Amino acid sequence: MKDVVVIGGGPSGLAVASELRKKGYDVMLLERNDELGGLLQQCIHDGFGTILFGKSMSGPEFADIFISRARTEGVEIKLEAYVKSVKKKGDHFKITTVTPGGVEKLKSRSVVYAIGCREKNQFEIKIGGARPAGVYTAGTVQRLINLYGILPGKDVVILGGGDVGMIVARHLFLEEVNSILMVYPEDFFSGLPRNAQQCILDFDIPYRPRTIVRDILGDKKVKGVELVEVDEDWQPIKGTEERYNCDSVILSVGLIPYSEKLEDLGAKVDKNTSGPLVNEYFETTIDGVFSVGNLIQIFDYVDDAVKTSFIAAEGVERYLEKESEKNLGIELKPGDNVMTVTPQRVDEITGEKFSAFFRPDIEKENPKIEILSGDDVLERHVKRYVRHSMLEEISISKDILLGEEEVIIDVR
Amino acid sequence: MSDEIEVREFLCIRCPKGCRLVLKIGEEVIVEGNQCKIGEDYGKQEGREPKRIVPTTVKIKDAKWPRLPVRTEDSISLDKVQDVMETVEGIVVEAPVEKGEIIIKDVAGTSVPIIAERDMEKIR
Repeated sequence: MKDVVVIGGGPSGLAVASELRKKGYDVMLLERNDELGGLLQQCIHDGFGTILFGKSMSGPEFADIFISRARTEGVEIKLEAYVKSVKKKGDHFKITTVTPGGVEKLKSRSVVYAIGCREKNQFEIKIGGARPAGVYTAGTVQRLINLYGILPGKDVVILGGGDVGMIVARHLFLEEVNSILMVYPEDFFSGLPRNAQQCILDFDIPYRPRTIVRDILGDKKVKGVELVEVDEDWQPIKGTEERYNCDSVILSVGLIPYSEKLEDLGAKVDKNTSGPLVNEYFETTIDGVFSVGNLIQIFDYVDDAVKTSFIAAEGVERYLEKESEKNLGIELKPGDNVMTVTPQRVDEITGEKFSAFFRPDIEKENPKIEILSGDDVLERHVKRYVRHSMLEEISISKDILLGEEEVIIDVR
Repeated sequence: MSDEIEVREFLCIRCPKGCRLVLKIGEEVIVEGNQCKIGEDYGKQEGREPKRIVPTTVKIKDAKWPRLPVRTEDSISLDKVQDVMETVEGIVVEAPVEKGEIIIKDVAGTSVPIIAERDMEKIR
Protein backbone atom coordinates (compact mmCIF):
# COMPACT_ATOMS: atom_id res chain seq x y z
CA MET A 1 0.00 0.00 0.00
CA LYS A 2 1.40 3.36 -1.09
CA ASP A 3 0.74 6.49 0.93
CA VAL A 4 0.28 8.59 -2.20
CA VAL A 5 -0.03 7.92 -5.91
CA VAL A 6 0.52 10.97 -8.11
CA ILE A 7 -0.91 10.73 -11.62
CA GLY A 8 1.01 12.85 -14.13
CA GLY A 9 4.73 13.63 -14.43
CA GLY A 10 4.58 17.28 -15.49
CA PRO A 11 5.97 20.04 -13.27
CA SER A 12 2.99 20.07 -10.87
CA GLY A 13 2.97 16.28 -10.42
CA LEU A 14 6.73 16.18 -9.91
CA ALA A 15 6.56 19.02 -7.38
CA VAL A 16 3.80 17.48 -5.26
CA ALA A 17 5.45 14.03 -5.36
CA SER A 18 8.81 15.50 -4.26
CA GLU A 19 7.23 17.48 -1.42
CA LEU A 20 5.41 14.44 -0.08
CA ARG A 21 8.48 12.22 -0.38
CA LYS A 22 10.42 14.87 1.53
CA LYS A 23 7.81 14.63 4.28
CA GLY A 24 8.65 10.92 4.49
CA TYR A 25 5.75 9.32 2.64
CA ASP A 26 5.89 6.37 0.26
CA VAL A 27 5.09 8.10 -3.04
CA MET A 28 4.64 6.64 -6.51
CA LEU A 29 4.36 8.82 -9.60
CA LEU A 30 2.70 7.44 -12.75
CA GLU A 31 3.35 9.02 -16.14
CA ARG A 32 1.76 7.79 -19.36
CA ASN A 33 4.49 9.24 -21.58
CA ASP A 34 8.00 7.77 -21.82
CA GLU A 35 9.65 10.86 -20.35
CA LEU A 36 8.98 13.30 -17.53
CA GLY A 37 8.38 17.03 -17.78
CA GLY A 38 4.99 17.07 -19.48
CA LEU A 39 4.14 19.94 -21.74
CA LEU A 40 7.29 21.87 -20.78
CA GLN A 41 9.55 19.63 -22.89
CA GLN A 42 8.08 21.23 -26.01
CA CYS A 43 8.06 24.79 -24.62
CA ILE A 44 11.62 25.64 -25.59
CA HIS A 45 11.20 29.42 -25.27
CA ASP A 46 12.27 31.27 -22.15
CA GLY A 47 10.12 33.01 -19.55
CA PHE A 48 9.56 30.18 -17.06
CA GLY A 49 10.61 30.48 -13.43
CA THR A 50 10.52 34.24 -12.99
CA ILE A 51 8.09 34.02 -10.05
CA LEU A 52 9.50 30.97 -8.24
CA PHE A 53 13.20 31.30 -9.00
CA GLY A 54 13.64 34.95 -10.00
CA LYS A 55 15.20 34.04 -13.34
CA SER A 56 13.93 33.26 -16.78
CA MET A 57 14.40 29.69 -18.00
CA SER A 58 13.21 27.56 -20.90
CA GLY A 59 10.53 24.92 -20.38
CA PRO A 60 12.94 21.95 -20.41
CA GLU A 61 15.22 23.77 -17.93
CA PHE A 62 12.32 24.52 -15.58
CA ALA A 63 11.11 20.90 -15.87
CA ASP A 64 14.60 19.59 -15.13
CA ILE A 65 14.61 21.30 -11.71
CA PHE A 66 11.55 19.29 -10.69
CA ILE A 67 12.67 16.08 -12.41
CA SER A 68 15.97 16.25 -10.49
CA ARG A 69 14.15 17.07 -7.28
CA ALA A 70 11.87 14.02 -7.63
CA ARG A 71 14.89 11.78 -8.30
CA THR A 72 16.91 13.22 -5.40
CA GLU A 73 14.02 12.83 -2.99
CA GLY A 74 13.54 9.23 -4.12
CA VAL A 75 10.08 9.35 -5.63
CA GLU A 76 9.25 5.99 -7.21
CA ILE A 77 8.57 6.81 -10.87
CA LYS A 78 6.81 4.65 -13.44
CA LEU A 79 6.90 5.78 -17.05
CA GLU A 80 4.57 4.49 -19.78
CA ALA A 81 1.97 3.78 -17.13
CA TYR A 82 -1.50 4.81 -18.23
CA VAL A 83 -4.05 4.94 -15.45
CA LYS A 84 -7.13 3.13 -16.64
CA SER A 85 -9.18 3.47 -13.49
CA VAL A 86 -9.16 4.62 -9.90
CA LYS A 87 -11.72 3.22 -7.49
CA LYS A 88 -12.35 4.06 -3.86
CA LYS A 89 -12.49 0.99 -1.59
CA GLY A 90 -13.21 1.94 2.01
CA ASP A 91 -10.25 3.95 3.26
CA HIS A 92 -8.00 3.39 0.24
CA PHE A 93 -7.92 3.52 -3.55
CA LYS A 94 -7.41 0.75 -6.11
CA ILE A 95 -5.56 1.94 -9.18
CA THR A 96 -5.40 -0.01 -12.42
CA THR A 97 -2.65 0.92 -14.88
CA VAL A 98 -1.83 -0.27 -18.37
CA THR A 99 1.90 -0.57 -19.03
CA PRO A 100 4.03 -2.19 -21.76
CA GLY A 101 4.37 -5.14 -19.35
CA GLY A 102 0.61 -5.56 -19.03
CA VAL A 103 -2.11 -4.50 -16.62
CA GLU A 104 -0.85 -3.64 -13.15
CA LYS A 105 -2.83 -2.93 -10.02
CA LEU A 106 -1.80 -1.02 -6.95
CA LYS A 107 -3.28 0.37 -3.78
CA SER A 108 -2.82 3.75 -2.23
CA ARG A 109 -4.13 5.69 0.75
CA SER A 110 -4.50 8.89 -1.30
CA VAL A 111 -4.36 10.06 -4.92
CA VAL A 112 -3.17 13.32 -6.46
CA TYR A 113 -4.30 14.05 -10.01
CA ALA A 114 -1.81 16.16 -11.94
CA ILE A 115 -3.01 15.40 -15.45
CA GLY A 116 -3.14 18.98 -16.71
CA CYS A 117 -5.22 20.24 -19.57
CA ARG A 118 -5.84 19.71 -23.25
CA GLU A 119 -6.30 22.04 -26.19
CA LYS A 120 -9.69 22.90 -27.55
CA ASN A 121 -10.08 21.62 -31.10
CA GLN A 122 -11.93 22.59 -34.28
CA PHE A 123 -15.04 20.71 -33.22
CA GLU A 124 -15.44 22.80 -30.08
CA ILE A 125 -15.65 26.14 -31.88
CA LYS A 126 -17.94 27.15 -34.70
CA ILE A 127 -15.90 26.71 -37.85
CA GLY A 128 -17.16 25.43 -41.18
CA GLY A 129 -15.71 23.26 -43.89
CA ALA A 130 -14.83 19.64 -44.63
CA ARG A 131 -12.08 17.91 -42.70
CA PRO A 132 -9.05 18.50 -44.88
CA ALA A 133 -5.49 17.63 -43.83
CA GLY A 134 -3.54 20.64 -42.59
CA VAL A 135 -5.59 21.70 -39.57
CA TYR A 136 -3.60 21.55 -36.33
CA THR A 137 -3.83 22.74 -32.75
CA ALA A 138 -1.03 25.09 -31.70
CA GLY A 139 0.39 22.62 -29.18
CA THR A 140 0.68 19.92 -31.83
CA VAL A 141 2.61 22.31 -34.06
CA GLN A 142 4.87 23.27 -31.18
CA ARG A 143 5.60 19.59 -30.63
CA LEU A 144 6.21 18.92 -34.34
CA ILE A 145 8.65 21.82 -34.67
CA ASN A 146 10.52 21.53 -31.40
CA LEU A 147 10.82 17.78 -30.95
CA TYR A 148 10.66 16.49 -34.54
CA GLY A 149 11.86 19.47 -36.59
CA ILE A 150 8.81 19.28 -38.86
CA LEU A 151 6.93 22.35 -40.10
CA PRO A 152 3.16 22.09 -40.53
CA GLY A 153 3.08 23.91 -43.87
CA LYS A 154 4.44 26.86 -45.78
CA ASP A 155 1.59 29.34 -45.71
CA VAL A 156 0.01 29.40 -42.32
CA VAL A 157 -3.06 30.99 -40.77
CA ILE A 158 -3.21 31.02 -36.98
CA LEU A 159 -6.62 31.46 -35.35
CA GLY A 160 -6.44 32.86 -31.82
CA GLY A 161 -4.29 35.55 -30.23
CA GLY A 162 -3.38 33.68 -27.04
CA ASP A 163 0.07 32.83 -25.74
CA VAL A 164 0.54 29.45 -27.40
CA GLY A 165 -0.50 30.82 -30.80
CA MET A 166 1.92 33.74 -30.52
CA ILE A 167 4.83 31.55 -29.44
CA VAL A 168 4.18 29.16 -32.31
CA ALA A 169 4.00 32.12 -34.72
CA ARG A 170 7.51 33.16 -33.68
CA HIS A 171 8.89 29.64 -34.14
CA LEU A 172 7.33 29.47 -37.60
CA PHE A 173 8.70 32.89 -38.50
CA LEU A 174 12.21 32.03 -37.37
CA GLU A 175 12.01 28.72 -39.25
CA GLU A 176 11.22 30.80 -42.33
CA VAL A 177 7.83 29.65 -43.56
CA ASN A 178 6.57 31.67 -46.56
CA SER A 179 3.74 33.48 -44.88
CA ILE A 180 1.99 33.76 -41.53
CA LEU A 181 -1.25 35.53 -40.71
CA MET A 182 -2.66 35.60 -37.20
CA VAL A 183 -6.34 36.41 -36.74
CA TYR A 184 -8.38 36.70 -33.55
CA PRO A 185 -11.79 38.06 -32.52
CA GLU A 186 -10.58 40.31 -29.66
CA ASP A 187 -9.43 43.86 -30.35
CA PHE A 188 -5.91 42.98 -29.25
CA PHE A 189 -3.86 39.86 -28.46
CA SER A 190 -5.41 38.06 -25.49
CA GLY A 191 -2.10 36.61 -24.24
CA LEU A 192 0.63 38.27 -22.20
CA PRO A 193 2.04 41.60 -23.45
CA ARG A 194 5.45 39.99 -23.24
CA ASN A 195 4.49 37.48 -25.92
CA ALA A 196 2.67 40.05 -28.07
CA GLN A 197 5.85 42.14 -28.16
CA GLN A 198 8.55 39.47 -28.33
CA CYS A 199 6.78 36.98 -30.59
CA ILE A 200 4.68 39.09 -32.96
CA LEU A 201 5.62 42.77 -32.93
CA ASP A 202 9.41 42.18 -32.80
CA PHE A 203 9.20 40.45 -36.18
CA ASP A 204 6.32 42.37 -37.78
CA ILE A 205 4.29 39.21 -38.15
CA PRO A 206 0.97 40.20 -39.79
CA TYR A 207 -2.13 40.03 -37.59
CA ARG A 208 -5.76 41.03 -37.89
CA PRO A 209 -7.80 41.75 -34.77
CA ARG A 210 -11.61 41.35 -34.84
CA THR A 211 -11.29 38.69 -37.52
CA ILE A 212 -12.09 34.99 -37.44
CA VAL A 213 -11.84 31.99 -39.71
CA ARG A 214 -15.40 31.17 -40.74
CA ASP A 215 -14.68 28.33 -43.12
CA ILE A 216 -11.73 26.12 -43.83
CA LEU A 217 -11.56 25.60 -47.60
CA GLY A 218 -10.40 22.44 -49.37
CA ASP A 219 -11.62 18.84 -49.38
CA LYS A 220 -8.51 16.70 -49.00
CA LYS A 221 -5.98 19.37 -48.13
CA VAL A 222 -6.37 22.89 -46.81
CA LYS A 223 -6.48 25.32 -49.74
CA GLY A 224 -7.38 28.44 -47.85
CA VAL A 225 -9.75 29.96 -45.38
CA GLU A 226 -12.70 32.29 -45.50
CA LEU A 227 -11.98 35.14 -43.14
CA VAL A 228 -14.66 37.42 -41.82
CA GLU A 229 -14.50 40.50 -39.62
CA VAL A 230 -16.47 40.46 -36.38
CA ASP A 231 -18.03 43.12 -34.18
CA GLU A 232 -17.51 43.64 -30.45
CA ASP A 233 -19.77 40.70 -29.69
CA TRP A 234 -17.74 38.54 -32.07
CA GLN A 235 -20.63 38.45 -34.55
CA PRO A 236 -19.60 38.28 -38.24
CA ILE A 237 -20.05 41.51 -40.20
CA LYS A 238 -21.76 40.86 -43.52
CA GLY A 239 -19.85 41.87 -46.61
CA THR A 240 -16.43 41.52 -45.01
CA GLU A 241 -15.89 37.91 -46.09
CA GLU A 242 -12.58 37.36 -47.78
CA ARG A 243 -10.86 34.30 -49.25
CA TYR A 244 -7.28 33.91 -48.07
CA ASN A 245 -4.99 31.23 -49.48
CA CYS A 246 -2.99 29.03 -47.13
CA ASP A 247 -1.96 25.39 -46.79
CA SER A 248 -2.40 25.02 -43.07
CA VAL A 249 -4.57 26.34 -40.25
CA ILE A 250 -3.39 26.40 -36.66
CA LEU A 251 -5.95 26.69 -33.90
CA SER A 252 -4.94 28.39 -30.68
CA VAL A 253 -8.39 28.66 -29.19
CA GLY A 254 -7.84 27.84 -25.56
CA LEU A 255 -7.03 25.14 -23.07
CA ILE A 256 -9.40 23.16 -20.90
CA PRO A 257 -8.67 21.12 -17.75
CA TYR A 258 -8.66 17.40 -18.41
CA SER A 259 -11.21 16.63 -15.70
CA GLU A 260 -13.11 13.72 -17.29
CA LYS A 261 -11.01 11.21 -15.33
CA LEU A 262 -11.96 12.82 -12.04
CA GLU A 263 -15.62 12.86 -13.05
CA ASP A 264 -15.41 9.11 -13.66
CA LEU A 265 -14.42 8.79 -10.03
CA GLY A 266 -17.42 10.89 -8.99
CA ALA A 267 -15.71 14.24 -8.35
CA LYS A 268 -17.77 17.34 -9.03
CA VAL A 269 -16.62 19.83 -11.63
CA ASP A 270 -16.90 23.64 -11.68
CA LYS A 271 -18.65 24.87 -14.82
CA ASN A 272 -16.65 28.11 -14.70
CA THR A 273 -13.14 26.63 -14.56
CA SER A 274 -14.03 23.22 -16.10
CA GLY A 275 -11.74 21.82 -13.39
CA PRO A 276 -12.78 19.94 -10.25
CA LEU A 277 -14.35 21.74 -7.30
CA VAL A 278 -11.59 21.98 -4.70
CA ASN A 279 -11.03 23.24 -1.17
CA GLU A 280 -8.17 25.43 0.05
CA TYR A 281 -5.79 22.42 -0.02
CA PHE A 282 -6.96 21.53 -3.53
CA GLU A 283 -8.78 18.45 -2.30
CA THR A 284 -11.64 17.52 -4.63
CA THR A 285 -15.15 16.62 -3.48
CA ILE A 286 -13.83 13.10 -2.79
CA ASP A 287 -11.91 12.70 0.49
CA GLY A 288 -8.29 11.79 -0.16
CA VAL A 289 -8.34 12.81 -3.83
CA PHE A 290 -6.43 16.00 -4.63
CA SER A 291 -5.68 17.88 -7.83
CA VAL A 292 -2.82 20.22 -8.75
CA GLY A 293 -1.65 22.45 -11.59
CA ASN A 294 -3.54 23.09 -14.80
CA LEU A 295 -6.11 20.45 -13.95
CA ILE A 296 -7.56 22.84 -11.35
CA GLN A 297 -7.82 25.68 -13.85
CA ILE A 298 -5.61 27.08 -16.59
CA PHE A 299 -2.73 29.04 -15.07
CA ASP A 300 -1.00 31.83 -17.01
CA TYR A 301 2.36 30.94 -15.45
CA VAL A 302 3.75 27.49 -14.70
CA ASP A 303 5.20 29.02 -11.53
CA ASP A 304 1.68 29.60 -10.20
CA ALA A 305 0.56 26.14 -11.30
CA VAL A 306 3.40 24.61 -9.29
CA LYS A 307 2.47 26.68 -6.21
CA THR A 308 -0.70 24.59 -5.97
CA SER A 309 1.51 21.51 -5.54
CA PHE A 310 3.12 22.88 -2.40
CA ILE A 311 -0.28 23.72 -0.93
CA ALA A 312 -1.77 20.36 -1.92
CA ALA A 313 1.19 18.55 -0.33
CA GLU A 314 0.21 20.13 3.01
CA GLY A 315 -3.34 18.96 2.46
CA VAL A 316 -2.32 15.40 1.62
CA GLU A 317 -0.18 15.30 4.76
CA ARG A 318 -3.10 16.50 6.86
CA TYR A 319 -5.32 13.87 5.26
CA LEU A 320 -2.83 11.04 5.82
CA GLU A 321 -2.23 12.11 9.42
CA LYS A 322 -6.00 12.41 9.92
CA GLU A 323 -5.55 16.02 10.97
CA SER A 324 -8.12 17.41 8.54
CA GLU A 325 -11.06 19.00 10.27
CA LYS A 326 -13.55 19.75 7.56
CA ASN A 327 -16.05 21.72 9.56
CA LEU A 328 -16.51 24.93 7.61
CA GLY A 329 -17.71 24.16 4.08
CA ILE A 330 -17.84 27.84 3.08
CA GLU A 331 -18.44 28.41 -0.61
CA LEU A 332 -16.36 30.90 -2.58
CA LYS A 333 -18.05 32.29 -5.68
CA PRO A 334 -17.22 34.68 -8.50
CA GLY A 335 -19.10 37.98 -8.22
CA ASP A 336 -19.05 41.19 -10.25
CA ASN A 337 -16.42 41.27 -12.98
CA VAL A 338 -15.02 37.90 -12.00
CA MET A 339 -15.20 34.80 -14.21
CA THR A 340 -13.63 32.09 -12.05
CA VAL A 341 -12.55 31.54 -8.46
CA THR A 342 -10.46 28.72 -6.99
CA PRO A 343 -10.65 27.20 -4.48
CA GLN A 344 -14.43 27.02 -4.61
CA ARG A 345 -14.76 26.16 -0.93
CA VAL A 346 -12.94 26.55 2.37
CA ASP A 347 -13.16 23.50 4.61
CA GLU A 348 -10.80 23.99 7.53
CA ILE A 349 -10.33 26.59 10.26
CA THR A 350 -6.65 25.72 10.61
CA GLY A 351 -4.21 28.14 9.01
CA GLU A 352 -4.32 31.92 9.09
CA LYS A 353 -4.60 32.55 5.39
CA PHE A 354 -5.12 30.71 2.13
CA SER A 355 -4.39 31.47 -1.52
CA ALA A 356 -7.28 32.19 -3.82
CA PHE A 357 -6.98 32.63 -7.56
CA PHE A 358 -9.51 34.59 -9.60
CA ARG A 359 -9.84 35.57 -13.23
CA PRO A 360 -11.29 39.05 -13.79
CA ASP A 361 -13.24 39.96 -16.90
CA ILE A 362 -12.46 43.64 -16.59
CA GLU A 363 -9.42 45.80 -17.24
CA LYS A 364 -8.84 48.32 -14.47
CA GLU A 365 -6.20 50.36 -12.72
CA ASN A 366 -6.02 50.13 -8.90
CA PRO A 367 -9.15 47.99 -8.66
CA LYS A 368 -10.74 47.12 -5.34
CA ILE A 369 -11.00 43.40 -4.78
CA GLU A 370 -13.68 42.73 -2.20
CA ILE A 371 -14.57 39.60 -0.29
CA LEU A 372 -18.29 39.96 0.33
CA SER A 373 -20.94 38.28 2.39
CA GLY A 374 -24.17 39.64 0.96
CA ASP A 375 -23.46 43.38 0.91
CA ASP A 376 -20.94 43.31 3.78
CA VAL A 377 -17.32 43.74 2.82
CA LEU A 378 -15.34 41.21 4.87
CA GLU A 379 -11.94 42.04 3.44
CA ARG A 380 -10.55 44.33 0.80
CA HIS A 381 -7.47 43.74 -1.35
CA VAL A 382 -5.70 46.03 -3.77
CA LYS A 383 -3.94 45.29 -7.02
CA ARG A 384 -2.06 47.73 -9.17
CA TYR A 385 -3.76 46.61 -12.33
CA VAL A 386 -5.99 43.77 -13.47
CA ARG A 387 -6.48 42.73 -17.02
CA HIS A 388 -9.30 40.80 -18.70
CA SER A 389 -8.77 37.04 -18.28
CA MET A 390 -5.41 37.36 -16.59
CA LEU A 391 -5.27 35.23 -13.46
CA GLU A 392 -4.72 36.98 -10.11
CA GLU A 393 -3.84 35.60 -6.69
CA ILE A 394 -4.85 36.98 -3.29
CA SER A 395 -4.25 35.72 0.21
CA ILE A 396 -7.52 35.65 2.17
CA SER A 397 -7.68 35.61 5.99
CA LYS A 398 -9.58 32.63 7.32
CA ASP A 399 -10.96 34.30 10.44
CA ILE A 400 -13.11 36.72 8.41
CA LEU A 401 -14.96 33.74 6.94
CA LEU A 402 -16.12 32.18 10.20
CA GLY A 403 -19.87 31.90 10.46
CA GLU A 404 -20.39 32.52 6.73
CA GLU A 405 -21.94 30.05 4.33
CA GLU A 406 -21.11 31.70 1.06
CA VAL A 407 -18.77 34.55 0.16
CA ILE A 408 -18.26 36.31 -3.13
CA ILE A 409 -15.21 37.87 -4.75
CA ASP A 410 -15.92 41.13 -6.61
CA VAL A 411 -13.62 43.35 -8.62
CA ARG A 412 -14.67 46.99 -8.85
CA MET B 1 23.78 63.42 -37.54
CA SER B 2 22.60 63.19 -33.97
CA ASP B 3 19.61 65.36 -34.85
CA GLU B 4 17.87 62.39 -36.36
CA ILE B 5 15.21 60.98 -34.12
CA GLU B 6 13.99 57.45 -34.58
CA VAL B 7 10.47 56.80 -33.33
CA ARG B 8 9.66 53.28 -32.25
CA GLU B 9 6.56 51.83 -30.66
CA PHE B 10 6.36 48.73 -28.54
CA LEU B 11 4.59 47.15 -25.60
CA CYS B 12 5.93 47.40 -22.10
CA ILE B 13 6.30 43.86 -20.74
CA ARG B 14 6.99 44.67 -17.12
CA CYS B 15 3.41 44.20 -15.89
CA PRO B 16 0.16 42.76 -17.26
CA LYS B 17 -1.05 46.21 -18.21
CA GLY B 18 1.12 46.25 -21.33
CA CYS B 19 1.39 50.02 -21.92
CA ARG B 20 2.06 51.05 -25.50
CA LEU B 21 5.35 52.89 -25.25
CA VAL B 22 6.54 55.36 -27.84
CA LEU B 23 10.30 55.79 -27.90
CA LYS B 24 11.95 58.82 -29.40
CA ILE B 25 15.53 57.79 -29.88
CA GLY B 26 18.04 60.52 -30.55
CA GLU B 27 21.00 61.36 -28.41
CA GLU B 28 18.76 60.59 -25.52
CA VAL B 29 15.91 58.12 -25.35
CA ILE B 30 12.58 59.75 -24.52
CA VAL B 31 9.82 57.42 -23.38
CA GLU B 32 6.16 58.31 -23.81
CA GLY B 33 3.00 56.34 -23.12
CA ASN B 34 4.37 54.78 -19.95
CA GLN B 35 2.35 55.13 -16.78
CA CYS B 36 5.05 54.43 -14.26
CA LYS B 37 8.77 54.66 -13.57
CA ILE B 38 9.32 50.97 -14.31
CA GLY B 39 8.02 51.54 -17.83
CA GLU B 40 10.30 54.51 -18.33
CA ASP B 41 13.39 52.55 -17.28
CA TYR B 42 12.39 49.59 -19.39
CA GLY B 43 11.71 51.85 -22.37
CA LYS B 44 15.12 53.48 -22.11
CA GLN B 45 16.90 50.14 -22.00
CA GLU B 46 14.82 48.89 -24.90
CA GLY B 47 15.57 52.09 -26.82
CA ARG B 48 19.32 51.77 -26.40
CA GLU B 49 19.52 48.14 -27.42
CA PRO B 50 16.60 45.70 -27.42
CA LYS B 51 17.87 42.27 -26.40
CA ARG B 52 16.31 38.84 -26.61
CA ILE B 53 17.07 35.25 -25.75
CA VAL B 54 16.80 33.13 -28.90
CA PRO B 55 15.38 29.62 -28.49
CA THR B 56 15.55 27.14 -31.35
CA THR B 57 16.51 23.54 -32.07
CA VAL B 58 19.41 21.70 -33.73
CA LYS B 59 19.46 18.27 -35.34
CA ILE B 60 20.67 15.53 -33.05
CA LYS B 61 21.83 12.02 -33.99
CA ASP B 62 21.19 8.81 -32.04
CA ALA B 63 18.84 10.48 -29.57
CA LYS B 64 15.27 9.96 -28.42
CA TRP B 65 14.06 12.96 -30.46
CA PRO B 66 15.28 14.20 -33.85
CA ARG B 67 15.80 17.69 -32.38
CA LEU B 68 17.61 19.10 -29.38
CA PRO B 69 16.29 22.38 -27.92
CA VAL B 70 19.01 25.03 -27.60
CA ARG B 71 19.14 28.72 -26.81
CA THR B 72 21.50 31.64 -26.53
CA GLU B 73 22.95 31.51 -23.03
CA ASP B 74 22.32 35.22 -22.58
CA SER B 75 20.17 37.73 -24.42
CA ILE B 76 21.52 39.09 -27.68
CA SER B 77 20.74 42.11 -29.80
CA LEU B 78 17.31 41.83 -31.44
CA ASP B 79 18.73 42.66 -34.86
CA LYS B 80 21.12 39.69 -34.57
CA VAL B 81 18.30 37.15 -34.16
CA GLN B 82 18.17 36.20 -37.85
CA ASP B 83 21.96 35.82 -38.01
CA VAL B 84 21.83 33.49 -35.03
CA MET B 85 19.10 31.41 -36.67
CA GLU B 86 21.13 31.11 -39.87
CA THR B 87 24.25 30.04 -37.99
CA VAL B 88 22.40 27.43 -35.98
CA GLU B 89 20.69 25.98 -39.03
CA GLY B 90 22.70 23.08 -40.39
CA ILE B 91 24.34 22.27 -37.05
CA VAL B 92 24.15 18.57 -36.24
CA VAL B 93 25.16 17.25 -32.83
CA GLU B 94 25.50 13.71 -31.55
CA ALA B 95 23.93 12.28 -28.42
CA PRO B 96 24.59 12.18 -25.54
CA VAL B 97 24.28 15.86 -24.73
CA GLU B 98 24.04 17.37 -21.28
CA LYS B 99 21.92 20.32 -20.23
CA GLY B 100 23.98 23.51 -20.40
CA GLU B 101 26.54 21.98 -22.79
CA ILE B 102 27.95 24.54 -25.22
CA ILE B 103 26.88 23.78 -28.79
CA ILE B 104 28.40 26.89 -30.43
CA LYS B 105 31.01 28.94 -28.57
CA ASP B 106 30.33 32.36 -30.05
CA VAL B 107 27.23 32.54 -32.19
CA ALA B 108 27.17 35.01 -35.10
CA GLY B 109 29.80 37.28 -33.57
CA THR B 110 27.69 38.05 -30.50
CA SER B 111 30.27 36.49 -28.12
CA VAL B 112 27.33 34.63 -26.58
CA PRO B 113 27.29 30.82 -26.71
CA ILE B 114 24.45 28.55 -27.78
CA ILE B 115 23.71 25.99 -25.06
CA ALA B 116 21.64 22.81 -24.82
CA GLU B 117 18.39 23.25 -22.88
CA ARG B 118 18.21 19.63 -21.73
CA ASP B 119 19.98 16.32 -21.40
CA MET B 120 19.53 13.92 -24.27
CA GLU B 121 20.77 10.39 -23.90
CA LYS B 122 22.31 8.24 -26.59
CA ILE B 123 19.87 5.66 -27.90
CA ARG B 124 20.90 2.54 -29.89
